[in-house]
Amino acid sequence: MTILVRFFAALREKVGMGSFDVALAAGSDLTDLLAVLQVELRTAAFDALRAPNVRIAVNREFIEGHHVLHDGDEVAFMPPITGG
Amino acid sequence: MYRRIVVQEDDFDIGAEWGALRSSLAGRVGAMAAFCGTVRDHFETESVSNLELEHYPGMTERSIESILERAEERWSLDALVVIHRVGSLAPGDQIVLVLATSRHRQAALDACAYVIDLLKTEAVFWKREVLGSGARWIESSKADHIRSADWRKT
Repeated sequence: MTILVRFFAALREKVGMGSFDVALAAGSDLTDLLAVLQVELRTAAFDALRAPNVRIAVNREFIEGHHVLHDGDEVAFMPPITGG
Repeated sequence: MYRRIVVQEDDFDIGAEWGALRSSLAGRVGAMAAFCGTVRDHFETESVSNLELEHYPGMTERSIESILERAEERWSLDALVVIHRVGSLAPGDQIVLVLATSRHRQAALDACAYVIDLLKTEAVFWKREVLGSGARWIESSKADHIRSADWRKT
């Protein structure tokens, strides 16, 4: 299955791009996605994703902890928002 | 209840928005309140040449909708409008417009203040200031979080 991974603001700059597709085995979860990102991203970029103040949204809803992914899901890594 | 949320790069015309809302309500309400935020030209002692706003299409609108839903639960309102700009803005540019209407002034004024206070801490936007010494991503201020939290107590 294919997951679209997105990065915003300071994270987008650290990763060097706004989004890319990640291929995962069916039934994979967020932990599996992070394992792939750890291999594909530079250490500094991956560490930035794992900062405690980074929130993760799946299909535009914030999630916490364990989360099973589905084909076509969009996973966004979001640094603290500034607000309007 | 009329609700309108727009996130756009283009500037907005307060007079046109105000007039359109007023004519659509046709005397049903007795109060209209408005707030407009603009870009400041200084951060501490440094001058700001640009403010860049990034958003997450879909999620940003949803975060604003959630704020408006809570405002509608708290006050008896007829309309709420939020227009928020994104992209690159210059000092003096308009960033955000909030309009609230109600039968009586207090609900309109309070709802307007509530919406902008919560936009400051909950709306999904990231701001980057371009200063003479370089650019920096802004974090929401402690004062904003205090104002937002105060609404939860009342």
